[in-house]
Amino acid sequence: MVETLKKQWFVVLIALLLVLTVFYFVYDQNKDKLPGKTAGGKDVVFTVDSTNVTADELYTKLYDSMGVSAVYTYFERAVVDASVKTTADLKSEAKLKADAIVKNFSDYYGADKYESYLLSAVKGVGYTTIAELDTYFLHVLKLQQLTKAYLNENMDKYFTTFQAAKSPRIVSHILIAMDDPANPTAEEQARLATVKTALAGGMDFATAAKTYSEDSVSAAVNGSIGYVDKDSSLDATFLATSLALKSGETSGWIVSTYGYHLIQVTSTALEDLKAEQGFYDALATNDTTITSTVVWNQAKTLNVKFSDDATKTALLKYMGITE
Amino acid sequence: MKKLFPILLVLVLLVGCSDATAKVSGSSTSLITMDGAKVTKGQIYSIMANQDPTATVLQMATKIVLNKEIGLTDEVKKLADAQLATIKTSLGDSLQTYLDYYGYADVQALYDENIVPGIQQELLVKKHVTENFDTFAVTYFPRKARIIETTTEALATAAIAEIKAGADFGAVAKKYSSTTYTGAEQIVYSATSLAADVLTFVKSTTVPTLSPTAIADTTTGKFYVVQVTVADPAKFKDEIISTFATEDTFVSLTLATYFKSGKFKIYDKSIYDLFSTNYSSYMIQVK
Repeated sequence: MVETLKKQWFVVLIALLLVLTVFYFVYDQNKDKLPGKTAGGKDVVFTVDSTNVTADELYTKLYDSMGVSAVYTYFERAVVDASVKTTADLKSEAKLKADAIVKNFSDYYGADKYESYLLSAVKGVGYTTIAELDTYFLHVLKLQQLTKAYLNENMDKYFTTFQAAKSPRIVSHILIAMDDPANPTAEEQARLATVKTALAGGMDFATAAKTYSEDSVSAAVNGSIGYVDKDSSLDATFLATSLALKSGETSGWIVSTYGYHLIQVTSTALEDLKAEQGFYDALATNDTTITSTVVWNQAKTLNVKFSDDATKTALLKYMGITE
Repeated sequence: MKKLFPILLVLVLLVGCSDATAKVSGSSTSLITMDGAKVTKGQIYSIMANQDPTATVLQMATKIVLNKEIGLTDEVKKLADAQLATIKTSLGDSLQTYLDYYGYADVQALYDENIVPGIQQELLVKKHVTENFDTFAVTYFPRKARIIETTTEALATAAIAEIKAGADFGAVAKKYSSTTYTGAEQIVYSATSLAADVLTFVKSTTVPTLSPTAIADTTTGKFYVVQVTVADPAKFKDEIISTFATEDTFVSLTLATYFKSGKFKIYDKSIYDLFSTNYSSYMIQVK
């Protein structure tokens, strides 16, 4: 053996160098890594004064303050996911929504900085990475679907109270845009007059909106801005005027930072409201027991079982459900 | 020689090792099951750990430090009992509402998790400030002073003239000062929220001194008259220690010192990163 090694000294040298290189490579790759620690078979999160605090202990402590809401988050996700099939349509709709959010954040915070803001928003709704935004919106869409079905079945129970509290309606408008709405120019005044003349001459509001409104998004859909209620985030005067009108009524010119608006309440009827997703979202936001009830009703059809009574009791209390 | 290659292979594989992540045991245990889905303990741990658990980590570590350095001595018990009695008296019938609101299971939990650690912390900070009193007295320059705030320089100058002529500081303050500054004697030190030039004047004094001219705050346009009444920190050491013991600056300073001497070390990458961002002064660990 020794003789062979002596004869092949060059090969031995190369082998030795190779081994050393590998050792150095391993050391170099790992020196910046945070080491882990276990004690009694459990992962340690931190030590101080020679005391180990394990992930299990941290879990217990965190569970005291936020366990139920964490359990609810996953419970809702599991129930909704098991209840509604993922279709290609839902998937692409979720993707569109996710892309739109990424664009919003990027436009608002700047392309180089938005990711950290978006990541904390994503974490706020219980996900870990920005890539999971699709999954999040898929969940939102599925939950909307379940909620809509439930509300359509049980509308009597919720609508009267909601209507009295929030004045739900569908609103259209015609905008004449101005740089300085406080001082309309002669040309802008003329544009206002054109709209008024057309309406006085019998043109219906929808056609006038399509023809004259300078809010291109709503003009494309006969001036409709869709669902509006007391909580809508709109210009204060615009919102107050929209809420004061009865169904079918049209306002006079009102002034906002964008320019002059004519507002028409298209409808306040339940049948028309039902065509708007915003209506269902507003109902669910106004009464949080609606989502809880939807989730719990679904869970029962899926033979839900809890590992212990304490988890069940705490979860139902959190959801505001009394069995 | 035959064994060399497997060893090398293992070593190369080790290169793939990443930063440590502490996992909860039994992470695949189901808390809830249903047709086609389940909720596991591991999912719950990860969602909780994702919501920045560093405040909880700090609280848990602080508790260990306090128990080691101060412990549950008779003094702590006596002070804690007294504080609990005060809380009970002041809350009366609303005690239960208070406990529910802050999430304490019962009075014992409030006592163990809030009152006792609070008292231990105050004692530890006092101990630390006492031990380092001479250094802190130089760095944070505590003084006793009276202050008058006026809207014009003329008013401040008039106030100085009257004080020099022998008028009582409080009476002059009543005549010239804004309501925020009553002219009462107070402890002032580097972190007291006062105009920078007022603090510079206070710091410069080694004997009781009245500011010879009005001190201007260029940012607010206000003028100040300052009379340092006690310039030697050693003369009111106990008062300084009691004041510092509840100030955030000295609480963090103290805890940071004991975290370091207690060799505080984190073994989870994401908690390590968040902790480094939120409480860097508590850490000596460089991975």
